[in-house]
Amino acid sequence: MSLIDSARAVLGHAADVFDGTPKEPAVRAAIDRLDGPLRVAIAGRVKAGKSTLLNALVGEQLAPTDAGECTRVVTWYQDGLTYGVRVHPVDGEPSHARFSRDDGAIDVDLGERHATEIDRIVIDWPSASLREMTLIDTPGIASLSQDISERTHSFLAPDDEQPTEADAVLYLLRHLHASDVRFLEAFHDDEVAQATPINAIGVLSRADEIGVGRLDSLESASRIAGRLRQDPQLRRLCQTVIPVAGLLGQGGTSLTEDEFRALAKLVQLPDKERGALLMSVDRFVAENASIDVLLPAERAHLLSRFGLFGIRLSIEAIGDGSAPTAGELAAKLRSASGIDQLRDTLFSQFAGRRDVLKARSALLTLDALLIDESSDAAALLASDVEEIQARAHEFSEMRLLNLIRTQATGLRTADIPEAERLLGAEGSGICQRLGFQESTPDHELKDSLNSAIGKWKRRAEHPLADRAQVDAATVIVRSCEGMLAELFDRSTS
Amino acid sequence: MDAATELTEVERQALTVIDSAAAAVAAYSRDDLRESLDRARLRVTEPEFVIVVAGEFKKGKSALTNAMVDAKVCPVDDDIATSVPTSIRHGDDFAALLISGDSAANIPLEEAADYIVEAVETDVRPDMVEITLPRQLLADGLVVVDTPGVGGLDSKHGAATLGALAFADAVVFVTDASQELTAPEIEFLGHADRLCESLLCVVAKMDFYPQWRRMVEADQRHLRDAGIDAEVIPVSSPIRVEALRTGSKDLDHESGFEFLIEWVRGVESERSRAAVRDIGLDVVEIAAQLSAPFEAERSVLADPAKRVALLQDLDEARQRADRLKSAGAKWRHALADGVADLASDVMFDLKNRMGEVTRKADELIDNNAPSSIWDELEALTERAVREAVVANFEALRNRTEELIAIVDEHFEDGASEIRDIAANGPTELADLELGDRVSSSTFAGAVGGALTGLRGSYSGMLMFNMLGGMLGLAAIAPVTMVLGVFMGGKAVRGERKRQLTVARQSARQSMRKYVDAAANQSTKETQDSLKRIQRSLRDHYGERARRYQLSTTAALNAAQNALRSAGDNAPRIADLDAEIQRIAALSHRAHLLTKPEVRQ
Repeated sequence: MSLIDSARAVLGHAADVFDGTPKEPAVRAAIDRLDGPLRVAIAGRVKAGKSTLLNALVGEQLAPTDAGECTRVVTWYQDGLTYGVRVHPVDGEPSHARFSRDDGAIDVDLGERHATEIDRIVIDWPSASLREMTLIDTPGIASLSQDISERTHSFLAPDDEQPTEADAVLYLLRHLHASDVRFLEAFHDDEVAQATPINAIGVLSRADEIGVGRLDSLESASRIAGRLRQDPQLRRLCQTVIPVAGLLGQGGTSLTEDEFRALAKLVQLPDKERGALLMSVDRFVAENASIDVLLPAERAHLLSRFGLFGIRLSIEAIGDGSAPTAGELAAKLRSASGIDQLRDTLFSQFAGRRDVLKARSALLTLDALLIDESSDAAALLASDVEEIQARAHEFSEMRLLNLIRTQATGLRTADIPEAERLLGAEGSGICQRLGFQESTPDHELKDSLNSAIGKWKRRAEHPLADRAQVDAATVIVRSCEGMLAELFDRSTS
Repeated sequence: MDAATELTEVERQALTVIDSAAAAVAAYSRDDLRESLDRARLRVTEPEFVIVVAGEFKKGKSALTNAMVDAKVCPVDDDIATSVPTSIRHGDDFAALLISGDSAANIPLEEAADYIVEAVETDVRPDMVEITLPRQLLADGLVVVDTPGVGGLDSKHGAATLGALAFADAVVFVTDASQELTAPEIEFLGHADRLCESLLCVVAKMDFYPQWRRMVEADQRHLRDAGIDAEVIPVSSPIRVEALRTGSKDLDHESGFEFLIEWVRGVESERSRAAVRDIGLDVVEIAAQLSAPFEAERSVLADPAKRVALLQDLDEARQRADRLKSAGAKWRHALADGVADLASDVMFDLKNRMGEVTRKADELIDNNAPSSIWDELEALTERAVREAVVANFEALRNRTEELIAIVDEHFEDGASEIRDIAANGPTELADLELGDRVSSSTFAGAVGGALTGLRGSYSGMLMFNMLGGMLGLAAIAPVTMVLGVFMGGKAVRGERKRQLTVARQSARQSMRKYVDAAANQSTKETQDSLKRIQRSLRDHYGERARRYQLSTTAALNAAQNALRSAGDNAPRIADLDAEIQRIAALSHRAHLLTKPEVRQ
């Protein structure tokens, strides 16, 4: 039985045991969580572009994105049968709230309540994107110096005992100098958090602004992201760093035919006039007698939707014939924005791990509920939970992955990429773990596994290896053996 | 430098006045007055006006600098940042010079970029790169210095840049229209405002961000709220580049650089007016010194009845001038006492600040696990130490100004008595109310000299950056956690607790060591600076006292010689009147330079 099935079974028992007691809702919630979509929280500093990224991921303008500071309450966006908004106060029962849509963005009427009295807002929104993942928008983090001294970090490693709200956390990084303290500020959001390097992704946001609108901005952004990925401090905090131009992604996802036609009109302009028009945002929206193809208001609309960079990129793509239709331009903008790469990473790297994370959260929740119970049924449940936890190799893998990133495991530097891959850092499928193409024949996989087992056994048995090295190598050997067994099952069934 | 062609009318007048004064000084063999005239001449013919371009990382400082001087000299890259200050000044050719400590080496201009950016590996990272360009903008002695991004006070460059601001004539702070000024930026601007007289805040990239107007307004509000007196000007470097390429005045106006350069010019001409005024005051004083012997002689010859009283006065003046020069002069005591007080106050201030840093860091260590806060502890401690050093530097600077004011007051007490006594005779110079004016001129000279002494402290801050971080502890925490996790959670809490105590102790030790090293370094720099300041003030006022000594002695000698003369005094009196008239005319012209209405 897989880990998640075991967790589901024990939670099912628990639901029976706690039926009708005050603890029942918590158990039911844990069960729902097991079956629900991936929960992705978006965290980062004020004005880092969190809401823009959220809209780009949903493909719809839902979260308000003002130049001021907008998100003040943690807001969940989840798939629903109907449109609805529920407000969960810190004390008391959740209640439905009225909302309006202002230029697309959802404006929730909080009534008399103050933002600080609200725990969270949950927005149900029928959407294909939200069916795959629930998104959690968070208020920006206050400055580092203010909260660091007040906050007491939990001494225990976060993956040891606490359940997490989110399966994955996207941390929006600004492009800052590595010597800047605020560089790492994005990672100090404890509210959503309990993030560990294995469930966190760094997002280099506002990638289109890096070159101040030059067409090669995105290349610069991916170069910077590549450097950040190698940064030792960041490696301890997140799995990878991906550059994303949120505005471009949002624009690409919802590009209309009208907008495409407007952009195409700009391509028709003589080079000199177009150059003058695109020189600055002011010029772009100004009244200009010689530019009669678009009204200033139409140009202003394009600017707010795509930004100067998005407009330049679109003109380039339409002009050189690589995007002759609205659909192709939309695809082009989306792929340039990095939003698809982010989504792929979320699903390839986290989808497999998600079950483990969810099972873990569910078991931890149950564990907490059982602490003050003394009945025989509860004792039985507790021993079940303990058995699953002890048996699940997935938890050991996760812990080790975390350790490799955060602490010294004594593993050789040259071994680390392989170790991480075998432990499932890049996806939990066998091919992903071995670094092979999908559909690699089983016998090749088997050979590769056998040689990996040999190698890591030698590491574990090395006379000079210390405890940490032995433990790490042993976990990796077990992972390989597990894969071998799976291949065997596959060939016999 | 062919700057002579760029002189303003007033500066030309100042030069003629200096020339006349130099001729007079030579004619009357007062070589002791030569040097100050030579210095004055240099201030007009080879002025230097330093603008520092400062701001956060990646705000477009180098692009702005390039656009200003119309040359791609500062490397601009999306990722790699400037790591060495680059000064750009006028020269007949394009050239680059690497400056490290006292040595300098010429390099081809196209290689300069390699030394300026951080990513390129070089054996030696110079302290500064100096570039010369044949540019009209720079011809009047303007020097533009591009600096590494400060990243607020918390970055390594922050403190060094702030130190540099204390010696700049103006600061152009660069932010951009992507967001409002942040708290660290405002903090930096506050320091800059206190350290430098002229401050401008430039909002770059207005060509790219549609919301730039709102940002400019918000920035103005933030500056007002923080009580910082600085104009906010939106600019666009790409539009300026286009304007330079096409030679379009309209585009230059649109780019905002027209305003920026106007502002720079404004501050520049303010400084040049101040220089001319100082020169006027200097020459008025020199004229008085030159005139004194002639007036003394004339008085003796013209009014034999009063000669005894006059000789007594002159002798009294000479004695007082001797006292002013002597080791027992009041101003010397004031200087010695003041420096001692200043030293102990500034050290106390530093000690307090460092104590506070240690206390806060201790608190952080006590309340958190070292492994979880290591990055912050290191960063926050380094930041707090830098802040403490900068604040201490500010205290030192302010107190230095107070010290100069006190020493000056004591000196002027003595000097004005001498002038009063010497001016008892019939003198036209008395009409000029010499006292106050001369005093302010001396004062300006003293401040300039002493602040140069502070430069030591600033280079100290650069040194301090090389102190590096609190290395060597990062390895402690991990072992603890590895054990903890592998041994399986709850059972090892006791062991963890013990290890936690050990880790905390090491963290504390490492932190203290760092703070102490920084405090020692800073203390040493402060002491060295104070020595330099003391020496410079002693030399400045000592030199002035010597002038009084020479003038009063000359006056007394002239009067005594006149006593021995016999026969008809009328021709000699006529000669003397002519001399006195000539000097008075010089003094009058010099005095005109000090009047504000002598503007162009």
